[in-house]
Amino acid sequence: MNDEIIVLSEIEAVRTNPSMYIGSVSNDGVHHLLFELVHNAVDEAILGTASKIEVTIGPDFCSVEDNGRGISIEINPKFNISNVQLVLTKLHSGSKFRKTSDQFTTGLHGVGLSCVNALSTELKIEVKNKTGLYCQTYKEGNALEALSQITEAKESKISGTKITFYPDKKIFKEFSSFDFDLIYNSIEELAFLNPTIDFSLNSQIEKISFDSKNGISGILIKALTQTQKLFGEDIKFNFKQNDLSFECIFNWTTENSTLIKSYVNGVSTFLGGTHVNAYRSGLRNGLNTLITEHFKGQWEGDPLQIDEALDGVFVVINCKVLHPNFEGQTKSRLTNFEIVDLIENEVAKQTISFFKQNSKNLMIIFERLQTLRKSRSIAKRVAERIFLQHGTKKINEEVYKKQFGERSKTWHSSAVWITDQELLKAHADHFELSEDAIALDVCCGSGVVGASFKHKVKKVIGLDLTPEMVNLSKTRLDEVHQGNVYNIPFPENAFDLVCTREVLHLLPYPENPVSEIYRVLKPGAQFIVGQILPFSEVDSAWMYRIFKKKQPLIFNMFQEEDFRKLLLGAGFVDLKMTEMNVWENIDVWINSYETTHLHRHEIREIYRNASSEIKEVHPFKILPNGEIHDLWRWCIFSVTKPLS
Amino acid sequence: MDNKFESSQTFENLKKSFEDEAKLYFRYKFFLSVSEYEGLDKTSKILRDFSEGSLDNVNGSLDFLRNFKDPSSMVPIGNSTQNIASILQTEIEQTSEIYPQMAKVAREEGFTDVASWFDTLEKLKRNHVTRLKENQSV
Repeated sequence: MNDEIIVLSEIEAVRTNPSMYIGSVSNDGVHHLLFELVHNAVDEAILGTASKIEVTIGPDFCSVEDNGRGISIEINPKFNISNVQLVLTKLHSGSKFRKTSDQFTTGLHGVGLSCVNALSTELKIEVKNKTGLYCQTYKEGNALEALSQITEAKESKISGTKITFYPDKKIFKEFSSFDFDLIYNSIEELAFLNPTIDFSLNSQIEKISFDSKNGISGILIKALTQTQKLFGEDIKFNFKQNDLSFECIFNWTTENSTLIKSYVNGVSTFLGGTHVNAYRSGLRNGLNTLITEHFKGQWEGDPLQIDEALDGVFVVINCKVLHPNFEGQTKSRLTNFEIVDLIENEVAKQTISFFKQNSKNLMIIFERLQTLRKSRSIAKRVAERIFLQHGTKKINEEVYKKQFGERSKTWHSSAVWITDQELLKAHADHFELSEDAIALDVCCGSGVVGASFKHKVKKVIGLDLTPEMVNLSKTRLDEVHQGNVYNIPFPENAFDLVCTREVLHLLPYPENPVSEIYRVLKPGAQFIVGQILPFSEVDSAWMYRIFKKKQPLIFNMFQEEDFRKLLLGAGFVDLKMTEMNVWENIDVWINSYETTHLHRHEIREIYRNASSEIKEVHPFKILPNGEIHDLWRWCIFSVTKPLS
Repeated sequence: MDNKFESSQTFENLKKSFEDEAKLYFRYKFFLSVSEYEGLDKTSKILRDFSEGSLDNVNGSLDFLRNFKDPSSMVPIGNSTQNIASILQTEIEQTSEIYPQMAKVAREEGFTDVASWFDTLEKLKRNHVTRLKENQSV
């Protein structure tokens, strides 16, 4: 019986089941190793013993060097190996586990160093201290030799640790190279959070030193580059009390979304947590007090809600907590309850104080909140009308006009797929008829789909219900008419081609518009239609929930078999289909007029809580900063109206 | 436990307790998402704690019922072969009768988006039936 029991060394255990220790063996896992080293160096700097951190990226290796104390080279009496070897080969052996320090380090990276070693084909550690330079090399986590002295110290003040590692491609099978942009952005963020540390990043092409003198303002400035600020100067709050240090910088923007970047002891808490919620409540409470004091009688209805107060806010929150508690291993959500009242009260107090000193800004924010309250009640009425549409076979044109009229203002930037050239080409590639064809782009939106056929046909006519979209598409198409796809304002047998994209799921009783399309096509003419479909029946219910929350006008979650039936059922023949997968930025996609803030929150939760069954069939990624990217399966169908 | 138990009010009450607690579990979970969005940490904690507790309550009722019958399929809870057969029975009913019928009614009543939701579930259940049957044949 005893023969069957396998006792793995700690290094073997990590190599056998790496995902258990670092989350995944994808490219994210490789970068996780690198950031473990960087955060260890940052912790050393926060303790006041290092001031420089240099990251070097090679073709298949990476090194991190700091000028801290250097890991201890002494022999550990308990294990009879050097402390260097101990931290590289034993899990949870970092000195930070002793918790003797009162500094705001992130701590608990101890598992990381030995994991980095275990998951590298080769790892070299160089330690400089007052006696000299020491070096040791490891292969797949095992020391090739004992720690040896390379040179004697020339200057006793120079010290530090440099670790160079080559990720093991046998474990990280997807890994080909380090992602420079990801590393750049992460280090830049760390530099802004730790302005007293000099960070540099070397690649084969360049050496970059980060200018972080603005502190967390730098993070906000970067986030605000794509948008317009409400106030010329950003608003800063900060305070320190006992075990807590809190600072935030924010501004309202012209966006109707909220951007919160939050950090605890230098680590991004992209799922927020108690510090973020306390800021949100504090801001709402402060604004409510100001409304009551200064605008009594002018504010209608319930007190200001949190999502109203936060609408359009871009904020960076940097919190230092002595003993932070996080939910889960990724440290993405803070759970310390004891800090809530303190932050909430301070933020409310400083909000009141700020606006009392800036009465002009108070007027501006009050007008913004009033407008928001009004537009939300209009949006609510529109949503109610969507439900009233139930039970009738006629669509309520006003609901569509209102929504797409609003969306036309930012149509092209509202999703990646709308202007994806390859996707448009995939539609045009289906065209099989002659150059003198007349085409109709139904529900044409901005006209990009119809325009993709322009070099292949004689004329492209557009049709859309929404006046704003008609105006938008006039710049691309030969002529555009306003009209309803349930009752296309053209005679039968009028067109050689009808095209449309991502429309039919928005229409109740889609067989009716498909029949209309059939009617206006000449015999032998083509209908080309693109549609996002689930990868299989397994992800369809999951996708349905996401899409319905994003867009209340969704009436059909087609699957491939449904869509084929819909087209063939109308009488079309000769069905051909091509597939194309396109990555969509979900945060951009849901930042839309018709998606409520609560639904945006719920959509993100649906991604984060996706079951393993979904993940097996439907690729999507959640980036370290919380951004969600989803791979959408586009199916482009071509069918023909039979000759007789 | 014998036939006397099957005909007792207590059996019916255990079934009801199982169903209500199971529903409550999902209601807590759903409401938790809203309270997290609202940033109400204390409310979220209560809802999270209660949802976890509800799972114990659901399982507690099943602990009694397991010696007798699965409250959904009314076949005995036993080893995995029997349990898979029990689940399979429910999934087959859903895919062959329940969801198609629900979709039909929704469509007739003009709720086409709800009909599409039932269609989606019906297809998902079809996939589950296939996988469960494959598992049975292993």
